[in-house]
Parts: sequence; structure tokens; C-alpha cells
Amino acid sequence: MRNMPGQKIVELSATPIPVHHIKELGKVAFGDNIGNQSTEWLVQARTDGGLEGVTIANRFMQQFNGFESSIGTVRGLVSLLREVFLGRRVDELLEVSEGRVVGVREAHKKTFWAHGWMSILAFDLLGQEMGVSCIELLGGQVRDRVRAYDTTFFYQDILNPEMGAGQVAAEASASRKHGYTAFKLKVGRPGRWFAPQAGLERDVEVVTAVREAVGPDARIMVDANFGYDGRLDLLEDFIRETLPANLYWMEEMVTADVGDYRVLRRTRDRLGSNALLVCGEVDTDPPSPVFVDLVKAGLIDGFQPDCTATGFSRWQALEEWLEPTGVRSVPRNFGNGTFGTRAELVFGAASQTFLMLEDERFRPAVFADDDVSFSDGHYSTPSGHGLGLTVDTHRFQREYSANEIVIR
Amino acid sequence: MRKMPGQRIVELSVTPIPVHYRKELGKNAYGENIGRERTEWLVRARTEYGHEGLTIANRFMRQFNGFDNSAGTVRGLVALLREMFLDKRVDEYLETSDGRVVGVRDAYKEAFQTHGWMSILAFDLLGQDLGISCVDLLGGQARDRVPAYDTTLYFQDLLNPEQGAAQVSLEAAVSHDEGYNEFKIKVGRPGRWMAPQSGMERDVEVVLAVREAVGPDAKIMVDANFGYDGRLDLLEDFIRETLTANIFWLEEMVTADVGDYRVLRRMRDRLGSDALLVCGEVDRDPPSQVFRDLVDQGLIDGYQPDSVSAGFSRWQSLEQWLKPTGVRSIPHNFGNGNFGTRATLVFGAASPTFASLEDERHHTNVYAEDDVSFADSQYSVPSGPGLGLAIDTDVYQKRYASHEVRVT
Repeated sequence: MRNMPGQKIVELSATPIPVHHIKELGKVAFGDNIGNQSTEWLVQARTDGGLEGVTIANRFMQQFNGFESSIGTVRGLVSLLREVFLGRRVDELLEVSEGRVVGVREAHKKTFWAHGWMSILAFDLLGQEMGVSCIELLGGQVRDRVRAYDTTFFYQDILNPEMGAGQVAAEASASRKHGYTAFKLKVGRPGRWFAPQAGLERDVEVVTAVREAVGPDARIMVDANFGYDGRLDLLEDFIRETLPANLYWMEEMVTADVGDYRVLRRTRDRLGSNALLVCGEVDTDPPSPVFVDLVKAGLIDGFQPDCTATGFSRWQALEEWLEPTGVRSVPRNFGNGTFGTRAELVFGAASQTFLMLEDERFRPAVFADDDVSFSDGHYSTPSGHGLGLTVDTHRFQREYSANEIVIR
Repeated sequence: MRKMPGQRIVELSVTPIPVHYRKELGKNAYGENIGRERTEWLVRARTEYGHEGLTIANRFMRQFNGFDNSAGTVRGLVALLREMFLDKRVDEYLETSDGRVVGVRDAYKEAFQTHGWMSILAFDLLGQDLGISCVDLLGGQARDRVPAYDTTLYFQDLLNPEQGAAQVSLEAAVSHDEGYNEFKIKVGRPGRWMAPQSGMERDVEVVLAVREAVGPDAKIMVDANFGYDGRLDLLEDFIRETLTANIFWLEEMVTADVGDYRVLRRMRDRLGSDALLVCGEVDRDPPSQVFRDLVDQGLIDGYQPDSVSAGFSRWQSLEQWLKPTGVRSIPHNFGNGNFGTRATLVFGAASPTFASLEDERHHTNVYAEDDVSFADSQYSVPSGPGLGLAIDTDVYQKRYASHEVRVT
């Protein structure tokens, strides 16, 4: 059912919502422990007709440049939201043709490119106003269920040295029992936290142990976060030694560079690996020239700008560009909380070339239960309007509203 | 008992040791949640006749500049340790006179200035070689017991929004019951994570709630991590509104700057606060010019370069410089794990102007129990030679040895 058209946004709010991983997450190749708690900077926008759209401003809040700049601060976020959304009509943000979003209105293009998460709010509000799902606005449903992979296998062996690689395998086994059939493992230990040779050996040991734990039919991906930079010799050993594990993709094994990727691709082919080569999560202005070059030269198989930070509008443009190249859409989703899971689920349901949803497996926090379910490694798609996502108002009031900043 | 003098270092190792807080630590003014777990990069150096010296390389491992640079990597640490320590005599690093260390030998001066944590290893080994405590090497015992403050009161209200300020006071009350009588509270909420006015009000609310929880005799310190930068108006409100809490020190309320500290000092005096003004933990090459200026002009009461990063040798020089100024030594110790507690304890026992030990209150991990005890918010002083600190070899072998990297 279509709501009153052209509703005006009359109130916004920003609220930090603590969200918890199901466990402590360890190091990655370049960085220290992730921990077990993160924050969703929930943005709610309410219209004069009673609609409520949601997004998160995590990317904005992560970009802190010191107290003198308003970037990454609540005061800056409040100013930005007020300027872009307050008093605007829901239908003045996006261009629509035949029930689908075909672009961003000129006045908002620059802003939605810089702050892609805002475009998701615009989609959510518009979908609710039109009485359709964002999946429809994105082009229509191309799959009933969206495959998800468990992305929580950091350097759990360093958190639990006594267990070593067995710790990662034990966690993968538990995840398998919870229904996951795809698993991404952090590798790249040679780069920083281990001596290079020992790091390679641990990487191999972890991959092999996880394959043993989850069985031959599961998908296993690896992500080195560039931890093999400058060590293509060790990377070759890694690929060779993990051939029996049948890796599904290799992510960011080295920094994006045409020369290194050419070597990597040849190495992969020569050794007989079928693993896709994917990268691009570090591209904060996608597509940056190096990724354009990698795509044009046929050196990567998947591109990974962040789903929420890049936003629906920009990802639509990226998919148009990628479509004729055969390069798959593999949006990153780490750090986007439970909101990010929903946003990527919606995007993945509508994307022809989408591979899998990166699932952080946060515990439920502020959003109400709805009709989305998870089984056999797949999420069902939401049937509600917009994102089909609503805030659990009782819980919000009880647990989080004390830190809500209201913008009127 | 003294063994063979001038022993040679024949073996070194590096091992990442997980170290756990007693609880999840939240945000501070500028940064994300600290989490529950960190790492001590334990360095062990063994001599030909069985002594073992210890330090941690946390500062080195945090200074990561990318994979093509060895700073912040295990391979870089191994190379550095090999160059500096392997096959050297323990009595060739430090200059001694009358049983006290009076300086660093020329060949090591630059390295120990850059990597102060190395000087602690040199002290530990020398103390064991000489059969005396590092407290004596540092100039002799100035106090029998060293006061310590609980430094774990972060923005716990954001971790637990439902509780708000009461969450911090609740944790302070628990800490008080466990023997602490000094508490440092993170403030500076106006800077980033809250709207400015609300942030100041929450800061005040937290301080008053903690005072209520710990009683009138406890010391309360606050640390804004520069969160009042550009908001001296709100800082004035904060100082006025917390006068009844009798704050013992105000730490890093704004970035170190002569002009701002002049205003702050006048403001403090005008409002009738007795709180010390302290800062300097961010000084990586102490004393940097701005801190010299602050000390020379009598604008600060305490100086805070990191205990382990600056190291014993550099802190000795700093104390010589500070002595005639009346400025107190308050070494920063956050992020240094259980090793840092011991190193700061030893330093504090020998320093006439030391104020209080920053205590992260980690759970025990790799170190053997010894004669140091804690009661009434004070640690007793270790009696053993060197740092008086030894590894629990059974625990080490069982839990951590698999990640040991030998320096050969």
C-alpha cells in the first residue's frame, strides 16, 4: 500500500548502539584485536506522515581527524544530517523510473557519493513511501535467498596460543553447526605478527584445519589484508600448500597493484588454483584508478567497496560499470553491525552479480524481529517496505534512548 | 647472590602474551572501545650463566607503517633485538657509579632514547648481574609502598547506555571494595562522542556519581584526552560543576599549548580548584619543546611520558630536569600490561617526585607470583634483584611457548 506521497522529513536522531560479536575477535594482518563490541551509529529519520527510515553513520564517525574538525564527531554528524535531510521531501532525493531508482537527484549527488550510507536512508524512506521493498527499487529480486559467509575467523590462534590453529578450526566447526556453509579466514600472518616463514606455515595450518573441520562442501575464503606484500615467494608457497583446501576466493593477498596482480594471477593459474582474486574494500572513492586498471586488465574477479559506506546509489553505478566485465560484486560489510547485514541482504537480493553476504554475526540489538530467517547458510529476503527493518521501540527506549541526539 | 659479572647474552626471544582486563573498557574522548584483551610483546634475554632479563616491546609493535617497513613487525623486532643484545655483555649498556646507574654508554644512547623499553631490559639484567634491585640502580628506595590508581573507568556509560553515569560509579564502587582508593575517570565527552553540552553534563554527572560512590577520602583524577579542545567555555563549566568532587588532577583537558594552559590555569585558580594540571603522555621524544615551555612557565604540575616507552634511562634524565621545577613525575602506563605495572612500581619506589602508578588491573598472565602485595591502594616494593620479576615457566610452556620467536 502506498503511503501519502512527498512526505517531509521532520525529525532525525543519532544514537550510538552497542553491538556485540558472538565472541572476541583477534588480530588481522595489519591491526590489533578487534574485540567483542562495536557501535552502530543509528540514524533514524521520521516524516510528517509517520514513516521512519534508518541507516548508520559508522563511516562518518570513523573518520576522526582531531577535535578541531567536525568529521567523526557527533556535532559534525548532527550538522550534516540537518543540512541534508531535515525539512526535505522523501521524493526529492532519488530519481525513479518505472518503480526503480535510476540515480540520485543532482542536488544530492555529491553528498550521497561522499556519504553513501545516506543514500540507503533515502532508499528506505522512499520504499516505505511508495509501499515497495528496496529490493524493487534496486531493480527487482534476482534470488529468494542470499548466501552468507561467517567472517569472524580472525587470528583467534593468537588470542588462544595454547590451541593454535585448532582454535580457528574449533570455531569454524561451531559455526558450521550454527548453519554456516561459507567461511572467510584471516591470513597474512607473515606480514606483521609472526616471523615470515612461521606465519606462512600457520596460515596453511589454519586453512587446512578449517577444511578438515567444515567438510569438503563448504566454501572457504581467505583474506590476507595485504599481509603477503613484498613476499610473493611465500604467497606462492601458501597457494601451493592450500590447494587441497580448494579455496573459493583469495582476498587482498597483496596491495592492489597491476604488476603484483599479474604475477599473482599467473602464479594461481600455474599452480592450478581455481580461487577467485578479489579486492577493493580499501577503495573509499570507488572505482579508484588502480581498481579500474585491475578490472580492465582482467586481473581480478570480484570488487569489494563497502556496502554501507559506498551506499546503494553508488553500488548501482558500480554494478553498471562491472556488468560487461564479468567481475562480481562482493561488497565488504565488516564494521556495519546488524544494520549492515540487512542493507547487504537487500542489495544482494537484487544484484545479478552478487556473491555472498559478509556476516559479522552480531547478537541482535536494537532492531525488531521480522520475517528474515537464516538456514543452510542463507538468509531469506525481507518482505517489508523499504529495508523491511524497524527499530524495537520498547528496547530502544529502555536501553539506548538516553544517548539519543534529536535533530528537529 | 652475585654470579659471574659481565655475563654475555646468549639467547633472546619474543612472545606475544595475551593479557585480559577485568571487564570490557569503553571509549575515551577520541578513540573507540579499548575492549577486554591486549597483548604484551614479551622479550626475554638469557645470559650464559642463567640470568633472565625481561621487557616488553609494545611501543615498537604499535608503530606499524605498512608491510614494506619493518617497524611494528616481528621481523623488525627480531632484527633490532639481535643487533642490540645478542652476544653483548650485560655490563656494557649502562654507566654506573656507587651502585647506581648514572647514564647510558655512548654506543647505546641513541637506541635507548628511541626504544626506552630496551633500557629497562638493560637495568633488569644489570641488577641481576650485580645482585641488586633496579630500585637501587635507580637511586635507592624513596618509599616503602607505591600508591596506585585504577585507570579503567572509561566511557563505560556508552557501553551500558541504560545505566548511564551510574555504570561508572558502580564500577568505581566495586574497585573501592577491592582496595583502590584512587580513581582516574575518562572525561572529554564533548569532543567527539556526544553533543558538546550533553557531553559536559555527562562528564559532571559521572564525576559526582563516582565521588558519591567512593567517599570523600578517595582521590579522583580526570583525563579528557584533549576532549575539551576548542571548548574552554565548557571546560570552565566542568571545573566549576565538579568543585565539590575535589578533583586531584586534571589531565590533558586540552592539547598542550602555552596559551590554552595559561587560560586553564587562571580559570582553575579563579574557580578555586586545587587540582593539579598534568599532561605529556603523548610526548614521544620527551621533553618536546611545548612541554619544556609548559614546565618553564610553571603551567603544569605533573609530566607524563610513558613509563615503559620512555624507559628508565630517559626517565632518569627527565627527573633530573624536573627536580628543581617542582613538577611531579606521573608516568603514563596504559597499554603496558602486567610488565608495565612492575616497571612503573620499581620506578615509583625510587622516585622522590612520583605521584601514583597507573594500574590497568589486568588479570595475571605469564609472570610468577612473588613478594609484591597490594593493599590500601598501594603496592609493596619487590625485593628481588633486577625488576624482581620472573616468568612462570610452567604456564609459559603450556600456554604461550608455541608463539615464541627465537632470536638467533
